[in-house]
Order: sequence, then structure tokens, then C-alpha cells
Amino acid sequence: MLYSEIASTLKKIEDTTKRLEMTDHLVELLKRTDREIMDIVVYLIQGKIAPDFEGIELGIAEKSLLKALHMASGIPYDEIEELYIRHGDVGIVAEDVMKRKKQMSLFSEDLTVERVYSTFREIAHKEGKGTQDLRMKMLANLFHDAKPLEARYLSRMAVSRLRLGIADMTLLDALSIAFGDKSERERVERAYNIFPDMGRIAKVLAEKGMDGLDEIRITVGVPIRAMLAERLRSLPEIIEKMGGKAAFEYKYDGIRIQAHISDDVRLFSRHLEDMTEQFPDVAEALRSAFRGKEAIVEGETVPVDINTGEMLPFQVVSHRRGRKYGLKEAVEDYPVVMFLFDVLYLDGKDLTLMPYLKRRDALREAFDVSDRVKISEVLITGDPKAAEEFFNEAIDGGCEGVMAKSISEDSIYRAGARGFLWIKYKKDYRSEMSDTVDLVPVGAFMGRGRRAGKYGALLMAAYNPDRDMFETVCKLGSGFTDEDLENLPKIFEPDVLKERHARVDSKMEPDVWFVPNHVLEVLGAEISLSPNHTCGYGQIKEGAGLAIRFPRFTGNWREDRGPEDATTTHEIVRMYEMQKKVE
Amino acid sequence: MFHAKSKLNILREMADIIYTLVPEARFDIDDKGIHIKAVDPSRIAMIALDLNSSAFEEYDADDTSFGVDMEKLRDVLKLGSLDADTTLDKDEESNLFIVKVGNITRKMPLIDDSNMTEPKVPSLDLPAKVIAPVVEIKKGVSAAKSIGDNIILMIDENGFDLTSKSEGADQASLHLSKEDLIELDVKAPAKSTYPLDYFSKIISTIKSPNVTLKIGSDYPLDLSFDIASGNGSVKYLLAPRVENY
Repeated sequence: MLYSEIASTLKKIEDTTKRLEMTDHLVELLKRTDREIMDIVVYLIQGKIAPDFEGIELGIAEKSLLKALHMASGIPYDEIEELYIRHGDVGIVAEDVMKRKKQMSLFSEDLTVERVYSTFREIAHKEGKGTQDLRMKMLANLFHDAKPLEARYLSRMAVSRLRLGIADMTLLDALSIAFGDKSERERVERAYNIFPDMGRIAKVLAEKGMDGLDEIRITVGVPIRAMLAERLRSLPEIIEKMGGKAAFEYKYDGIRIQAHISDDVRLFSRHLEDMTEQFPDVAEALRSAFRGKEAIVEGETVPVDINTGEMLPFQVVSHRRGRKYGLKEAVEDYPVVMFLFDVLYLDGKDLTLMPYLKRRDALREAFDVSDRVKISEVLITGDPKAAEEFFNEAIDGGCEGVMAKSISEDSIYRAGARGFLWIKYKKDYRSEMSDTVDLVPVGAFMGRGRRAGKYGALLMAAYNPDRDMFETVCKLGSGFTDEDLENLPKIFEPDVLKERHARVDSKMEPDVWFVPNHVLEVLGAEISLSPNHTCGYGQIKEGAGLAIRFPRFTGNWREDRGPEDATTTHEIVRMYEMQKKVE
Repeated sequence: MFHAKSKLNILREMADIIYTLVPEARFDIDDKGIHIKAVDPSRIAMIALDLNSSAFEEYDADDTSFGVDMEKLRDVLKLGSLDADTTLDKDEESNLFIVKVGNITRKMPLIDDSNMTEPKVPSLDLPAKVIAPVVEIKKGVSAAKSIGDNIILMIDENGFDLTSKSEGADQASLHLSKEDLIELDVKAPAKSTYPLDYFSKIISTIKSPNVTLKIGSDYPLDLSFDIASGNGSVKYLLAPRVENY
């Protein structure tokens, strides 16, 4: 199959905003695809080379891509870079450049789906010094045989920015229609929720039809999509929603981890990233506390004070993320405790469809608690006063609140879904902004006084996935240490632009602009309407966007996150609405 | 089996030339010598190199082929003087490539060469040919470097021209008249543009005094020269840049 078939489908999808039409185009492509390459085609339409949890990243920097375009086209590099600054989209740049291509190759080869896939896999596996040039040439190789439209999607894929909004849910729709009918959507989704590898699901469907899904089972080593909780504003409301009685668990302020235990242990984050390397101590502690052979469990990892044993804010653990050096020291200085709260699989048995209370029992029996592995605190009650007391204890102990869980018979583990079987209740709901947000610096204002010559404040933005734009939401100047301030210009130096990046929407004019690249964690006091910021502009009130008041940097560089993983406009709007309700 | 011994400079010349295009290469060995064909990963250039057994003081080989990491090979070849005795051996049992430079022994794993396919060499009938002194071409490249990233090669009855133009009015050119050239053979005048970085990299590796350049209009460049003092040769093809292609 030629890659042009994928490119033309992607084009059709890009040209429509209607989800149903997107689905139709996907179905048409899937039906035309040979079953041998069904998985590859599904990865490529999502701009991937493997399911996310395998952690295989292309890791091609924009500049390398632009160099590859230069090499494949013979158009001067400076001209290509200028185009990029103007458009902010490597896809448009690639398409334009390939239309004017001058450089020929010695011989041409068909640009097949298989070739694109295997080249990208190979690029992903080339690591280390001296491979930069080789990776760029391998990309140029593809561009030699790419028509302008194909180049558009190849280059966006290369920098992991396919940005078409082919959400998993749309693809699941398309898969169920292509290989069965719409009524079987739920079966397909269930399979995906317990085995989030879209390529594998598609291939099974292509080869064996809907009944093939029966062979998709919970598998140790393949993360299950996390069950998520709704939020409510008061404990009585929660108890009522739960039918008069519920189990309340401490909601620890840590990092949620799904642990897959067999002879070895693999740890996944809520976003299905492999975190085993950062938490060797957790892996080891779990293995020795577990009595059985194989299990998938969930828990919250919380740092504790090495001297007092008290829980510490989770930012302490986040220092371990993305760390290659000094991890040993971090493990020793900030030991963590894993508070287990659920078990999804145990020695050959899928427990996700078992009711909550039974799962809790199984969890308790399967582990010997130790200093490093504990079971989360729980109270089953229908009395709002008792719940309130339990909540206050949780807060005193350093937790961020409580998680209420339904104790009914149908309280299963609903992988990948957010629902009212679990409801979280946190301390900040009452007055302040509920959570920290992850924002993207898109520009900076030069400092005055003590900060002269350095950045005085960063212009921060939330991400709007519908528009694929970064919308400004505050100026961030506090929370930085002197050392941070000293280093900021150096950190942002590779991202500095003279003009606004095309994906940034701003009414303010900072002194320098940035390519949206970094993500910083920010805590604010509240969200208010503001005519100066573009986040959710016009959504609440005409002529006004939303702004975060009194923003403060928590000190946490979210290096594990890309700019598109930042807090979305939609979330900020919801937070604003939530805050209103409380008032 | 494969065993060969020569002076270090012969092998360094070979390794430098191959490394301009690829980090790994397949060595095809027979009783005539070492043969390497490689295409640069972006398919803009390719190389066919033959190093004859006569370039070696000792040469003993059955037909064989294996992949070599050129970066490792270059690194070990930096460890001796140009006239240091150097041996290459393939150890069949351990599947290692063993390089000895003076008193240094470097063993390296052979690279799986099953994926390194034999490139198809395009057959070209190029109408214009010169044999030129390398020292002059090197000067031309130096002059072109600061101007732009293209070079224009032109051959006609008056000789050979190498030109580089900037977007603005900057321009540098080298003209070699018939008298400056060792040979000028023009069936039809020809002119083509090529990427300068590829051209300059390969030119910089040439040790031989002369180089043969064959071009057509908007056709690949066919560049050939001797290595190992005439005991081997290199053929290098470079794809052109063409307006409105």
C-alpha cells in the first residue's frame, strides 16, 4: 500500500470538522487496507509507530526536520527556517518546500506504508552521538519520494505533531463500523481499555472479526487504561449520589502508579508511560510484599520524610522524573511509600469486573504490608459527619482529600472511564483554585530592578486542542528562585523567536516570544475574567477570556510533558465554572 | 578467511572516503581485493570503491563479505603514524573484525550485513568529461564555500568552470582552460548544479593528483579518482539540483 492513500485520507479528515465524516473516511481507508499491514496503517494515521506505553519516541527536533527538508529539496536552510517561523507548522513548510524541490536523488523508490513505518522505527532506535546526521538523512530519504501532500503529514508525524484530532474514540468508532457494526462499539472499546494498543486491536479485528476480540485479555506488562473519578462539591452530596453509603479512601498526594508484577515489575503512570526506571525502590518493594505470582495493582506513591516518616508534597517525587543521573541519591534522600488501593488482576484472574469490596479483600490478602508498601486507609460510612472527620484526618496527614467509592455490587473497575462510581473530594474546592495547572511559556517580559537584564515574567498559555493553539492565561513572575531566574534566558534560548509563533494566540506583546516547548506547573489563587487573555475567549463572556490570578511557579518543570499535554482551555473553563458554583 | 597487511595511510584513506557517506559499510572480499559499495542514507550520493590486493604487503582471502562500523575503524586508525604497519583480520569463530595498528589491537563485532543491499548503480551516458588537477578543484571549493550551498559545474570547448552564487550578488568561480586540464572531452557542452557539502566532502578526501569529472545537463555527477597510489579506484555519483524538477 502506498503512503499516498494514508496522506489523502488524512487530508480529507483535516478538511472536515464533523466527527461523523472523519469516521467515514477512516472506515473507507480501513476497508481498503490489507490485513497484514492493518496495525501499521492504524499507527500511522495516528502519527505513531507503537502504542504509547511502549515508550518508543521518534524524538526528532524541529530543527533536524528542517535540515532534512533542506537536504531533500536543495532549498536554502535559512529560507526554510523563515517559513517555519511564519507558519509554525512543519507540515505546511514541508508541503511548500517539496513543491519547489530542486535536489534529485540517484534513484527513486515507491513510498509505501511499510517503508515509512520501518524508516521511522529505525530512526527511533538510532540513539547516541553521531546519529543526528544519520537520522536526518533517513528522513530526507523519505522526502525524496514524497509528494507535497505526503511531505505535509510525514513531517508532522516526525515531530510528533500530526494534530488532526483523530481521537482514540473516533478511531474506535471507525474500527467497529469497518469490522462489524456500530452496535459493537462497546466491545471494541472495552478491548482497547484493557489493552490500549490500537494497532493490535485493529489487526485482530481484521484477521478474526469481532470474535477475535475475545483473545484480547488483560496482560501483565500492558497497562490498563485508568479508571477516573468525578468530582462533587460536598460530602453529603457524595453520600447521596452513592446511595446512602460509600467507602472513603485517603486520597494521597503522590503519583498514581499502576504496577504490573511478575518475575519483574513494570510501573506505569496514569498516562500509561513506563516509569519503572524512576522508581526502582517501588518495584523492589512491591515484588517482595506480594505473595502471589502475578498481579496488576494500583496505588499512589508518596514521598516520606526520611527522618520523621511524615508525608511530603508530591513535587519531591516529581524530581525523579526524567532523571538519569543522581537517581540513586534521589531514591535515598526521598524514599517513597506505595499506598495500594486496587487490584485488577491476580494470578491468572481478571478482577476488573468484580465489585469494589471484593477487590479490596483480594488486595489485602495478596500483600504483606511493609514500611514501603501499605494499603490505603478506608472508612465505610453513610454519616456525613464521620466522613467529614475522616476527611479532616486525611488533610492533617498530608493528603489532598478523600476518594469516595461505591460499595454496590456493580461497582466494577471501569477501565478508561470517568464516572460516579468514584468521586473525589479535595480540600481546595471550597474557595481556591482546585488544582495546579500545567502551562506553557510562550513569551517573556524583560525584568526591571533586581531582575534587570533577566526575564521579569513569563507569558503562560493553556492548550486549546480544538484550535491547536496556545491561549494565554497569565503572566508568571513569582515562585522562581534566584537560580531559576538566572537560568531562564539560557533555558529558553533555543526557543526564542522574534515574532509570535503561529500557534500562539495572544493579545499581549511580550519582549520575546518562544516556540511552545516547555511545561511548568503553576498554582493560582482563582480564575477570573480578563479582557487581556485569550484563554477561552468569549466562551464565558463576550470580549473576555480567562486569567489565573496570583499565579505562582511550584518549582516543578514538567519535563515529562509535551506542550500539547498542558492543561487545556476546556479544563480552565471547567475550573472557572466549578469555582462559580461553589461561590 | 580474510587477512591483509599494509601501511596505515592506505587504510585511513579508504575509511575516510567511505565515512563521508555512511557510518556502516559492507566489505565484499575476494582474491582481487576489497570492494565497497555504499549509498548515502538520503540517496543523494553513492560510492563504489575498489582497493586492490596489490595495495597490501600481505593479502590472503576467500570470498566473503561482512559489515564494518566505519566510525570504530576510523578511530583505531588514528592511533598510529601514517607508515605504521596495520593488519586487518576477520576472525571466523568469534565473528570479530580485528585491526592491529602498531602495538594496538582493536577487536570489533561485525555488523549484520543482511540489510545492506547492493545498490543499483544508475547507468549514465554523460557527454562531457574532464580530468583535472585536484589541487585546483580544492581551491575552487574553498572559494565557493563562503558563498552559497550550491555549486554549478560547467564543461564546454573552452574548459571547465566551477561557480558558486549567493542569493545576492556574491559569486566565486574557478575556470580551468584546456591547457590547465589533463584531458578535455566534450561531446556536448553540459551544465549542472550540485549540493556543495557533498562535493566538498568527497573532494577533501582525494589524495591522488588528478580527478575525473563527467557531467551532463541536469544529470548526476560521475567523479572518479585513484586511491592507494594507483592500487585502487573510487567512483562517486552525486545527484543534481534541478530547477522546476
